[in-house]
Amino acid sequence: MAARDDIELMQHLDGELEERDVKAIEERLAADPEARAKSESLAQVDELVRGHLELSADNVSERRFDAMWKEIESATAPAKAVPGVWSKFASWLDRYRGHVITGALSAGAVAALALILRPGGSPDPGTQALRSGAIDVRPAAMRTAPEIESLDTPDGEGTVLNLEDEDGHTTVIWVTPEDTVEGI
Amino acid sequence: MRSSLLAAVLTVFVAGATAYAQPKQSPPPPPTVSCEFLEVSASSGDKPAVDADLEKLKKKFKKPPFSSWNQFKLLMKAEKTLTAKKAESIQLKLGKADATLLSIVNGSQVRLSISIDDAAGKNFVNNTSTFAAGDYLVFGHSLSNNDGHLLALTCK
Repeated sequence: MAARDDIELMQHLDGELEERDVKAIEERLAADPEARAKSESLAQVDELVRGHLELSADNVSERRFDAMWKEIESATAPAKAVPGVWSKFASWLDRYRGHVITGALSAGAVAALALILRPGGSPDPGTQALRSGAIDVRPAAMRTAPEIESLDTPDGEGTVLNLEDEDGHTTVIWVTPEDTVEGI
Repeated sequence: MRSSLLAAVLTVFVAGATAYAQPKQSPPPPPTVSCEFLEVSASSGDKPAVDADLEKLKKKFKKPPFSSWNQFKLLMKAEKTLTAKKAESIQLKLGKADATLLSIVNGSQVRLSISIDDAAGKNFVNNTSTFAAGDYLVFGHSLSNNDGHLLALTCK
């Protein structure tokens, strides 16, 4: 019990007791001369220890303190990543994203225009189809009707007939001599 | 800000210059088509007869104006590769034909001009037509002995 009382006295001196306990101790110190003497002795010992520690601390040089702080800082600081080329580029891209997109779109448009306007550019579809192989022979039902663009029959008359069956179209150009026509 | 704009302008310039500087494609080879020319003599006889080589045209021969005859004989058959804008001469038994491929239309039609002379060397027809690959174009006229003289052609 006495040991517990001594601990309470030490805690009181160090200001570690709660308000309720402080009140109890102070009542006890006021009533008990032995406790009061113990408390004073403890206060003196505490004073002595604090004084000694402060003196020891004063003996440590400033340079030693600096070195210690640096050591502590380097040990506790988070590892700093050295920014690489890619991270620099990414941060630049983040800052100027709008300009980069505008530039890329413009570049694409210019490239497309240059390709289109370049002399000897896109060939006509017919030529393109031929470059890839032979002419496309479509099924008879899908073939386009023939078209007579011009017909000249010197000394005669031309008749155009279109015979259509399941094999496709057959365009007949029949030439009748003029004298026969006149005969009719 | 200024540096980013400068970068954008430079990118545009480089892209345009690169696209323009791409090696030009060599000009495409001229279009070609393969055409078959069939010279046919049509006459009237006791029995109908059509040469085996004319099997594909047999059905058409039953219709006017060919139905005036019942015997069809192949006089000459020629396979020619026509190159665009290049006249190709076809020597016939009874005359001569000059065919020129003008162009390929929509990848499946042939635009072709043809000029035919009779056996006397007299030009009797000049024609420019566009017809589908696989279809037939038949030129015909009557001879002085009432026989028919036909030139059929198809291209693919």
